[in-house]
Amino acid sequence: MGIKASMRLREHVGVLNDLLSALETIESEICCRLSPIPVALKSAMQVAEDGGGKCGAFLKRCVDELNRRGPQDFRHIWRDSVEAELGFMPEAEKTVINELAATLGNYGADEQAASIGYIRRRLETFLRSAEQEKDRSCRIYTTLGVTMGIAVVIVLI
Amino acid sequence: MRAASPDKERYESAVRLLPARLRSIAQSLDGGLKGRAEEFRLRAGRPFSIAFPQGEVAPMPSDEVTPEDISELLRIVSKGSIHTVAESLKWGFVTAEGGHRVGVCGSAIVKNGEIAGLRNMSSASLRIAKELKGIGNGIYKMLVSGKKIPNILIVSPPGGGKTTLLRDFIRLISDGGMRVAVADERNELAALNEGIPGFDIGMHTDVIEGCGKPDAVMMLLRAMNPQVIAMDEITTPEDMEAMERAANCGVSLLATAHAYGMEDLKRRVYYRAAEKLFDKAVLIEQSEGKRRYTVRDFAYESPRGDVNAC
Repeated sequence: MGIKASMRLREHVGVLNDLLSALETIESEICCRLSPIPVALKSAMQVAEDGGGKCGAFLKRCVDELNRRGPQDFRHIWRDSVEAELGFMPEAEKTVINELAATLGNYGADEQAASIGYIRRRLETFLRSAEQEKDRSCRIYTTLGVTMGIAVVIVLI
Repeated sequence: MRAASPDKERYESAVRLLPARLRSIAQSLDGGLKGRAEEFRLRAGRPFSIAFPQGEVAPMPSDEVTPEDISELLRIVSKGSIHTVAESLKWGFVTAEGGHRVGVCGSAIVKNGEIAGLRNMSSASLRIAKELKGIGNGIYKMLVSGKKIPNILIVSPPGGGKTTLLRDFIRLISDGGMRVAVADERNELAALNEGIPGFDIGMHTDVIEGCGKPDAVMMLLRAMNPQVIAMDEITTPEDMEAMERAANCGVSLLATAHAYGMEDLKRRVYYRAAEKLFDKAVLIEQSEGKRRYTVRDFAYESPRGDVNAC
């Protein structure tokens, strides 16, 4: 049980890290190359897929749905993809990520960069909290594990 | 099943840019009329209409266009990426995939005395791009002999068919073996889509799109060693200077200009130098839905050369 909980916390930290990298890629694509949103998401997806996590799956779903449904449905596509692939994340974090649904592709490059920068700063705050919780929980589970082990040995003796 | 004609294919590709609600109205148009449609007109609070050479028709007079329809049109045309078209949107237009030009009207956003964008879109016009291969054949045979191309200015009022004729000229000259370089500022001549032209612009044509014409001409002269430079709609003194620079490098010129004839052209200050620059003028006139091309020597006074019409 302790191992499973520890893995979930590690995955949460990993996804937040991957999302931050993805947003950096998307911001560069929009601001430096004026790439359309589907192209920016695809670039970020290719980077995230190397890590093989939920973030890559989320971006892939966005890209596939954009190809299928068209850019006019972007807001719904983004929010549906967050729920489908990042549903395990706390509501507060999903709400922040979903703010980009209204921003991406709807404003000039500078305005989008400002919005992405703001979202990244908030996600960095969540990441720090998640890392602290992961470290604290790991210490607790390690201590519990060792204590249980000693107790078993005493009983057997 | 017979393949759709090119005009109907162009119509269908323009229809795909419309919001879903208006798309079904446009698709319900009689097949015979589709090839003759020139524009889709969206005006908030008024019926969606389709423009033909004879005038506009509203297929569903009771169905009014909403501001949200116009916003959705822009989202589709920009592929959900307004930032990619922000620069051209300041000037009230966007070129969509397929070379279709979308003009928009709304409330201008002015910052520091300059237009920064548009908001509260009130109307839009989607001009269906046409490719008419062969319309330049007669004029090409009249004006071009061997490797000698005179400097040609195509003149007509807006919507007269200058771009369509220029595109065919580019194709004919390029396929005739000459290196043609195109400064395609609005991506209407070549309609590049991921680098591949959406129109047939010839085997020996190089294109810079989305770049102001003066800068594009300099880049093309330096990098692509053209024998002919083509550009659509000379509208500023800087465009004229770019043409002069190209001519001074021994390059032949192909260009278009908005005007109702030579008299109208002569009245505009920055076209006065055109008389020294261009050898031939091709005037396009429309009457009863048909176009007539007149070729003459470029002179603001009485023409010195033959006047040929086709």
